[in-house]
Amino acid sequence: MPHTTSQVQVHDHTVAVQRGGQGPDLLFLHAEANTSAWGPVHDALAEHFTVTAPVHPGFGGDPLPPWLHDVSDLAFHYVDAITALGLRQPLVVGASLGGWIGLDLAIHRPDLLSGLVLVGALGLRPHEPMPDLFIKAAPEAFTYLARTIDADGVDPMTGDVDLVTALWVEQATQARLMWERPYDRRLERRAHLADAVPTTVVWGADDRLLPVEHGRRLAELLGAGLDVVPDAGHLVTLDNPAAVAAAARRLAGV
Amino acid sequence: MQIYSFHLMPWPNIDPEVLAKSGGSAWVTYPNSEYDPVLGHKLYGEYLDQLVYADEVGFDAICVNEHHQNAYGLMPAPNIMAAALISRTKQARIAILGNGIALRHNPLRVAEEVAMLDVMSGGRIISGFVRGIGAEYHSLNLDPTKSRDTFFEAHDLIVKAWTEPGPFAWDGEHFAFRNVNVWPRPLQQPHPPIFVPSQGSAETLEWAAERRYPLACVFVPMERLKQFYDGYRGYASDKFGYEAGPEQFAFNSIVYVHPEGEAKATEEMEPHIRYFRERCFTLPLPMFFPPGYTGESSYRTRIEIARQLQASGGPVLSAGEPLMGTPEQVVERIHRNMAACGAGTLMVQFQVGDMPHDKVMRSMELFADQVLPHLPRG
Repeated sequence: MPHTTSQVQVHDHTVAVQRGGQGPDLLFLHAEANTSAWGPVHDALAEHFTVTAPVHPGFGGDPLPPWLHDVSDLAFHYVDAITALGLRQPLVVGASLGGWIGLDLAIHRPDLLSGLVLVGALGLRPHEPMPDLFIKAAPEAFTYLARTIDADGVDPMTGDVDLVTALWVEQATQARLMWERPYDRRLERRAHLADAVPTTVVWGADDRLLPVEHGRRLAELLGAGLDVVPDAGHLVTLDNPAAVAAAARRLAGV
Repeated sequence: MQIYSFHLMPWPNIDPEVLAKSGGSAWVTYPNSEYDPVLGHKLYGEYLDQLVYADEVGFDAICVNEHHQNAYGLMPAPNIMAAALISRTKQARIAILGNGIALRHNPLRVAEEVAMLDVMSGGRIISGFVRGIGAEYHSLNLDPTKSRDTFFEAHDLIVKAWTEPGPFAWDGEHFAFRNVNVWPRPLQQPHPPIFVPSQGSAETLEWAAERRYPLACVFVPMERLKQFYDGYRGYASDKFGYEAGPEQFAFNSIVYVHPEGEAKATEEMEPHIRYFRERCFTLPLPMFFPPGYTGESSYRTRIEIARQLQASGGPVLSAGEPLMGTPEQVVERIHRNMAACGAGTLMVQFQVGDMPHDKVMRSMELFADQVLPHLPRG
């Protein structure tokens, strides 16, 4: 699917934005682990939506911004970005960290979204601690995220030095957001503020980072539907892009 | 030449099978059920005796340091070790290398404790400041991306607390206090000498060079050590307008003297060095260098070092190049190494890994009798 890339000024920060497809506006909020580039999930969504996929500040080669303290800073970034990108009540699809940002955005400004698709969204405090991916070597850590991910190239002892270093640099932003606590204790009490936003939760049946039970809790908290996707890990966006596109179409009625 | 006695206070019974099960590291995840407090009591006594002996035979300083939740070095609270040494020593300075000021939620506690130690010791404290290695950020759940800035700000706050009259307010990015008013103040004026142990990142080299703080990079191959110290000297001359002297650099080495020469010394020492390299200093890259702990170029350098060491058949980390041989050979090698990196301070590590007390003491006695008299002092 053809797509364009441009630089857009969002308040005081310049972001790279990829766009493609036709249909209603869809804002795609990417996950962590070097997943900001246009890929199969964007293609699948672009068949039915006009997909706008910005790179989060501090990701994809953008250095960790000094103003970035926690995920709320990214949620408020997208309050600015929705206007700067010329979007009108987009459907927001967010995976993992992107889901956390989308949920926080919906809590703060439910009026800005037409709907929310949360794919293996982080944010809600889990009942059991998540595996510590920061302490694991990259190849092993990646196996917790998706079944289909190519982890061989990211081994710091053998992989391409530029790629390994780029991944490590992006991980710094992830550390800023998730090192001390990979969730936000405040989300559960605030979640009702997003009640007006139609929401669907999508979860990989084989998620090794947060089990399906966590996705069920999240869906119940939000009064949302839950799609459990078989043979998929945490990042269903990688393991089964069609399932993500189907959930988005169903929610948007397109 | 200034001569320091350096110690890590390691755990001597690291089990290779347990090590393998805990991810191959004696840090962060090596289970503390392996710690035996009864043996620990004996070890603290022996290790302190070794440092006290160094004072008795005329070392300029004895060194303690801070590492957390590991079997590599059992001094999570170095100021407690310094306090234990003050009343048992007379002449030697006590070098705390260092307090992990980026690891403390409250730098004023460090300012207070070091000032107490300085007053109690009659002004014998050398105050090292460190960020803590990457593993510490895993163990203490501290965001490594804040490490450097937190370190710089904690340093500025501590130095100001020592040198400017209180009470004053501090409103920083990482720390805020309405009333900074540290009692006691340090005895040494304007403050105890500051020393910077470092892993040689460009950012720290520049920062230390600007303040003329002495630097020590430990356990890096000589080729890298030269590169790091040349980097410091470069910042000093090109950016800060002075020539850094040998008193600003320390050379750290494992030393073992044996009257029969190098072969015998190596034979007796090799098992302990192997224990140190293969069981104590075991840090996979994600543990040693968590994301954001250092700059991009420093990380690239670290990957290169790790790959070079692996390619040479060794473990990913180096124990430096131990100095072993007859007293004459050791004297000659100390001079050669210190000249090579331009260092004026020698930091000798006698106890290594699982090396037992009596063997350490024999080595220290031989060093005191037959090496120390042949080294220039002052």
